[in-house]
Amino acid sequence: MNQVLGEFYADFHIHSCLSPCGEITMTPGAVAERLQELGIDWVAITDHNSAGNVRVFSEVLGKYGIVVIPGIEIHTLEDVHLLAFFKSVDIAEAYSDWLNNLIPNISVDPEKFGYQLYVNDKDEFIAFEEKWLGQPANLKLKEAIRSVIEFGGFYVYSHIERKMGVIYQLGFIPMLEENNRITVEISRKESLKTYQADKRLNLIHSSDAHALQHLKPVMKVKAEGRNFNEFIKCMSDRKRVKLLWE
Amino acid sequence: MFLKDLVANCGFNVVSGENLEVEIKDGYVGDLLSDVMGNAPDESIWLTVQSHVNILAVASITGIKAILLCNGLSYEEETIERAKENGIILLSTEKSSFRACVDLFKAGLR
Repeated sequence: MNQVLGEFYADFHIHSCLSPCGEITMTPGAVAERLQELGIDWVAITDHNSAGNVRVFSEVLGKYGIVVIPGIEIHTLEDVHLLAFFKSVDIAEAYSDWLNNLIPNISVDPEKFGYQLYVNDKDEFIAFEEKWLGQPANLKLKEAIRSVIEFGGFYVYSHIERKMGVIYQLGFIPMLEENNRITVEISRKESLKTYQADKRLNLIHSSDAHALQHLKPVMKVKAEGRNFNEFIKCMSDRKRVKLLWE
Repeated sequence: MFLKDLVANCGFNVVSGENLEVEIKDGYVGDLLSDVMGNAPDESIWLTVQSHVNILAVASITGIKAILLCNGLSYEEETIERAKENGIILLSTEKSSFRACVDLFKAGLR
């Protein structure tokens, strides 16, 4: 029997007002409305070094019919950004708590480097994070990958060819011994040719939105439904993903 | 050493920062934020190839007064704008970090 696959517009790398570089307009209600206007119905919230706003985004976006994959963008010691995705909000929060212990207790002036705001389901700010989330956790890249896998998560190298991307920072893509294929995020259409030829890689594209105007359709994916298992299938199968460029 | 003398003697480009009457007592070379955060001395000049906006937060935390971007690289617009707000002086040079260190040493920073 053939699988019945639906088509979804997806964006698996979006920042909220908790990220230091995220604008304060990135609140659940505002993001939900913009995503709905754009017809994007499957997303991941991936703040720097924290899953602190994932639960409220998941609830609010859910009311708009948008499904959220809980995520974190980990900043490793090598200054490489790594996207981590988890099966449930509970697991993402547990990972976030574990990661928090590895982030040095350093704060920066929010006036200068951005507010890190926790938000509720009414788009009201309820607290702010004092620890600077834009710094590297005390975690090497390989350890970060292992930790994500231990929590049952899935990892993707962020914007590999841009600053804080693995190619930009290290010049190569580290593969674990047992890896035959991994998933990487590319930022530019021009990069497509370069990395498409590498058979070890599955490619995704995202908005990496830090402000509402950055949100845009970035991928069309084919899945049986919008759940974590199907998410991993999409991320691991080139045939299921179509990258969209402006 | 005053930064204006170091800049004049070493031929660095000033990207942003108007007042170079700043005393520089030490220096540090590093491209990993964590390493620089942990080790850079106060009142220093930082030589790096990183130009991401995060370098400004690192400079603020450690008390770095000026950043020298080496190897002919250029800063992002956002970094330049934020540096003005934060009072961090941005410099650049075509030289490698090592060659720039040699010049700073010759200019009297040690």
